[in-house]
Amino acid sequence: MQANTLLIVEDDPDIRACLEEIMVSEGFEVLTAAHGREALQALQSAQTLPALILLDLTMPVMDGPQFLAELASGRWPEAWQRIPVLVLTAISEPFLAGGVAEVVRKPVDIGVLIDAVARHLPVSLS
Amino acid sequence: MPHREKTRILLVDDVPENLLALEALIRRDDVVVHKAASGDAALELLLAHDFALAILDVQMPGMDGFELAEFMRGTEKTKHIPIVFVTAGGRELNYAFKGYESGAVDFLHKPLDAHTVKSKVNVFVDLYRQSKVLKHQLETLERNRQEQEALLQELTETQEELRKAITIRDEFMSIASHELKTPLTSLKLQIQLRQRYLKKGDASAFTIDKIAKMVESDDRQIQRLIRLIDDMLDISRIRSGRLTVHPATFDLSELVHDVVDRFSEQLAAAGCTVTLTVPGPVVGYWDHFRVEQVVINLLTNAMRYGAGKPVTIVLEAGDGRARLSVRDEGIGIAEEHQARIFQQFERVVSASQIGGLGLGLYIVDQIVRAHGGSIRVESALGKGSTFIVELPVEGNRASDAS
Repeated sequence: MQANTLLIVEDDPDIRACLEEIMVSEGFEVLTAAHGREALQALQSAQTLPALILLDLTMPVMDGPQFLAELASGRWPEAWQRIPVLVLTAISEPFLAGGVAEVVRKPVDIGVLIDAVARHLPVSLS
Repeated sequence: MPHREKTRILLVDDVPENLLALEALIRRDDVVVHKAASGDAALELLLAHDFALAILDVQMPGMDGFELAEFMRGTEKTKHIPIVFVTAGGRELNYAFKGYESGAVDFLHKPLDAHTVKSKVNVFVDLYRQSKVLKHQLETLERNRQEQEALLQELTETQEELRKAITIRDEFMSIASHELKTPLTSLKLQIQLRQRYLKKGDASAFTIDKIAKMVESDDRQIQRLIRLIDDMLDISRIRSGRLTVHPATFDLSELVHDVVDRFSEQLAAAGCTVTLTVPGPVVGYWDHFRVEQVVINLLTNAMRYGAGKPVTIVLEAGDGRARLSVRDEGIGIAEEHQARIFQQFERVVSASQIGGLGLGLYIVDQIVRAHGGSIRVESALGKGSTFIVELPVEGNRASDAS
């Protein structure tokens, strides 16, 4: 059984590296992107689509809300819209248009984050 | 005050004895009587003073009383002066004056009766004074109304400013907490990761290389926190006029080299190559900490707004001034926004895309001014930006002496 893939979209290189390390140690395959535009490219070139997207909101080039709007725009494969999105943000009251499975607040507790990821992964029969 | 003003009465008669007799009849301490022997002389007086009443002899050579009255009614300054005609003629002549319907016209018939003359004059004098008081009251009311209107306007503006200030503060609080949480997130994740490795007894996570990387990252995030807090403190210092400069003699070229070195890793992470052109030592009398803040702020902005593109720093000296320019090849700033960016909380790009408190350039501008220097930007949308700081090498020594 192939490991689940996660896509981490986060502009801060230190936070991105930490999240990657945590998820790798949890047994995930990890793709990373520094902003929404890179995330779209990562999805396009992915061998297998990620099972979940971890999304920061405040990012240069294409921020989180713009990325979500892109996914919902119909310009991209429909399968992308079915990927659950877990938003990771330091904004206390983020405005989200929809398409978000859950919001996890920064500074985030690793345990809370791992639980949230597990909650939104598609059930796999192993 | 209207009561202090003299009340004036005009007597017009071509016979001097008549003038004297009439004056004797109406003389009062609180009234000034002006006498004119002809219509022409009367007109001169009428234009020079404000009268409560004009008593006109109807029959005069040249301009007679009715003609004078018609002239008075046709002139703005005199049209409201009540007129009393003195006539020897029969009562059918009384209405020969066409202006009688405009009111305040009365008649005295010769021979004059002392009591009638006095009481008529008194009525007009009282009327005049009452109207003066009323006019004064109206003026006071109008003045009060205008003052209130101005006050209301001022209050409305203040309220608007307050509302704006509160909105700005709220936005600032949300941006500031977001900015503070970002380095905290990184620190917290690092620490928790280490805790997990410790719990598992996984020593492979603590090799010298890995610890070095962690320490570097922690240090970066802590520096970021310190800078954020310093910026917030600086804003309150600037607001209360307490931004102080502690100058000392140092070499700016060394400082610039030093800052670029310290930021080399972040510059590399942002994909920015730096070209630094320095002529040699540029020694000046400035506040080392503050000037360092200026260089760091300009460099971080160049990284933020020109990520992935080269940054060019040029230091020059001449004419008793040092000139530092920091150029990025980033998004650039449209001309209409170029003045705004030096104000606090202003930014050209939405806060959801570019981090920071929106205070950097404002603080830079304040620091540069405190040194007697200047900052300007040369930019166009999509063409990158060059920020040029000029500092007199003597700092603010001249004005310090004052």
